[in-house]
Amino acid sequence: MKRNILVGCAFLLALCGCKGDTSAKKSETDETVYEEVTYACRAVDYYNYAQPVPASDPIEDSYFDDVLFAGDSRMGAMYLWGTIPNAQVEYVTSLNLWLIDSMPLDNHSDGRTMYDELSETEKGNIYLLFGINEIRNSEEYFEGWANEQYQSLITMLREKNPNVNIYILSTYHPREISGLPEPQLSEHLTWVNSRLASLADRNYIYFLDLDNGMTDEEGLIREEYVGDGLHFGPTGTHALEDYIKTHVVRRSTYVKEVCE
Amino acid sequence: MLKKFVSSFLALLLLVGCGAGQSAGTDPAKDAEKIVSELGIGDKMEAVQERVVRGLFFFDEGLIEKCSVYIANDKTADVVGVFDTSDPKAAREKIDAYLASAKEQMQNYYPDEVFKIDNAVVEEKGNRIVLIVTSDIESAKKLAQSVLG
Repeated sequence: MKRNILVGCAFLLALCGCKGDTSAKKSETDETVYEEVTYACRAVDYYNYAQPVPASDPIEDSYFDDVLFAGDSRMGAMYLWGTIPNAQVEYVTSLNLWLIDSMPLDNHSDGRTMYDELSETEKGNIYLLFGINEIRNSEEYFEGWANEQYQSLITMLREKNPNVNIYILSTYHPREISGLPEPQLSEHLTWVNSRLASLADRNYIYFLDLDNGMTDEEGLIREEYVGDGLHFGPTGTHALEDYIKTHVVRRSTYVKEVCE
Repeated sequence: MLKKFVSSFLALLLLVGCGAGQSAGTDPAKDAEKIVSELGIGDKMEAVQERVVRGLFFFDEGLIEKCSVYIANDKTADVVGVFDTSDPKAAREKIDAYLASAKEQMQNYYPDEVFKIDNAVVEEKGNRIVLIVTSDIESAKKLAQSVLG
C-alpha cells in the first residue's frame, strides 16, 4: 500500500511538473507544428519484500530516536539489557497476540496494553516480535493467527501512519522450549515463520530473519546468547542490537525515480 | 384438515421443547457474567470478542453457536467461558488443547498459576460447556453446575 501511494504521488508530481521537452517537426507544407512530448516520472520501489532484510552498513544512532521495539518476553531483553537508550521498548511477558489488547505491558504500572501503545505511537520505525507463546498450537491455528490477528495489527498501524516502516522479526529457533521437543519444534517454527514472511511480503513490510545470522551450525540460537534456551541475556541482546543496526532498509537504496 | 393442524401443532411444541432441553436455555453472556461476579474476580476479568475466542481456542467455523469468555487482564491464568456448541466432543477437545498450551506457558513464566489450570472446571450438559479456571475451585464447581441447571 505504501509503495502504491509513493508511486501514485510521484506519478502525479511528474504529471504536474515534468512536462518538459517539446520538440518541433516540419510539416509537409513547411509550416512548423509543435508536438508536445510528456515525460512521466514515477518512484519505483525495487526492494524485494519476499526476501529477508539483507545486511547493510550500521545505521547511525539517531535512527533509534524514531524506533519502537514491541514484542513478548524475548523483546524484554532489549528493555533489560539493551544499550540503545533512545529507542522505546515495550513488552509483555507470555503475550499471546490474540490478547494484545488485554494483557498489560510489563514495563508500565498503569494497565496499558501493547495495543494501546501501538495504536498511539508516532514512531516511524516499528519492530515486532511475536509468536513464541503460541508456538505449541497447530498449523491451522497459525493461519488465523497470522492472516487475521497479525494482519489486523499491521492494517491498524498502516491506517494510522501510511509511511511507517514495519519490521517483523522472525521467531528464532530456541535451543529448547518446554512441552515441544524436536522435531515438532522445528516444524512449528516453520509454520509460524513462513506465515510471517508471507505477511511481510503481502504488506510490503520488512522481514528480519534472525535465524540467518544469530544461530549456530545446527540452526539453533547461539548458546552464549540465551541463558535459558529462549530469552536473550546481555550478550545475546547486544548481538540482537548489532543485527538490527546492520539490517536496516534505506529507502534511498531501493526507491528510484523512473521517467519515461 | 384437523389431523394436519394437530400434527403441525405437535411438531411445533416439540421444536420449542428441544431447544430448551439442550442447555439451561439462558444466554451464555449472562451466565458468564454471573460466574465472574460471584467468584469476585470481576475487577481483573475482561470479556473478549468472539473473533478472539475463536482465535484463542481455535474453534472451527460453526462449532460454537454462542459463547461468552472472560480472560484475566493481570497475566494470571483465570478464564471463565460459557459455550453453546454444535459438537460438544469437538469443542471439549479444543478447550483441553487450550488448557494444555496455557499450562506450558504458565509453567515457564508464572508457575504459581499452574494449579489453577490443573484444577480447571470443565463441565458440560447438552450442548453447553462451562470452563472456569480460577483459584476458588470449589466455588467454581458449584457455579458451573448451577448455571448448567
